[in-house]
Amino acid sequence: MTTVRVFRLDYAYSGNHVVVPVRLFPAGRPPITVNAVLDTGAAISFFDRALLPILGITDVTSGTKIPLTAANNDPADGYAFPVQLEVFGAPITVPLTFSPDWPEGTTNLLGMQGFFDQVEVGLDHSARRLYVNI
Amino acid sequence: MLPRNSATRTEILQTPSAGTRWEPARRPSAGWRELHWFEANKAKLTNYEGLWIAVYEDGVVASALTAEEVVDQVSQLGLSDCLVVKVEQARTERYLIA
Repeated sequence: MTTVRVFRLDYAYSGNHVVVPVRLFPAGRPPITVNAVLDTGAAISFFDRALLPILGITDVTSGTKIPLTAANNDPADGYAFPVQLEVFGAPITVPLTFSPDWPEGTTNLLGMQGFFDQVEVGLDHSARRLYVNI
Repeated sequence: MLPRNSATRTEILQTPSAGTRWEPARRPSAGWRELHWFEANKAKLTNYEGLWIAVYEDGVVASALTAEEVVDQVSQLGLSDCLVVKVEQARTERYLIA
């Protein structure tokens, strides 16, 4: 059965990117929320490496190695870890990629592989509405 | 047995390896309320530039140099579902095309 939920984005979302809250579940600590951009231009989901210790990842290179290229064509190595998170009220496991080569404070991106292939999202930008089936 | 770094995409999707398991939010607006507050007020957060902060409902409840320290602080406060975000320095807005 398909259940489409509607989310009103009645805030000035950052830089005209669609930003949504993502709940994370740090080991031994209460759940937290971080912001992430819904980014159909990102092939994978990429998160800020500052979140690694919160998720209990002590060795970023222990993940699955993924070659990355930034928007400015800078190459880097990324490492993917399957992380259970919550978006739009639903728990899903998404491979999140982190890079030791890029600085902390990067924007969290929910991208095509691992996110958009699990979640149906429709955007009515003019009405600031998201239609989600998850 | 697969060597390290050779997991298939299916394995990556199905086997969480980081963090802990999902638990439902105590507040139905958890995350959204804090996101709205942050977006509406981030221009006023100049005192926190370069720091990580935790936003709970309609205000900042913790700040530190690292995200981990902020999470430790909110954990000690017993608060759940704080928005943990870095306050960037104010700059001229650029338009990203990617």
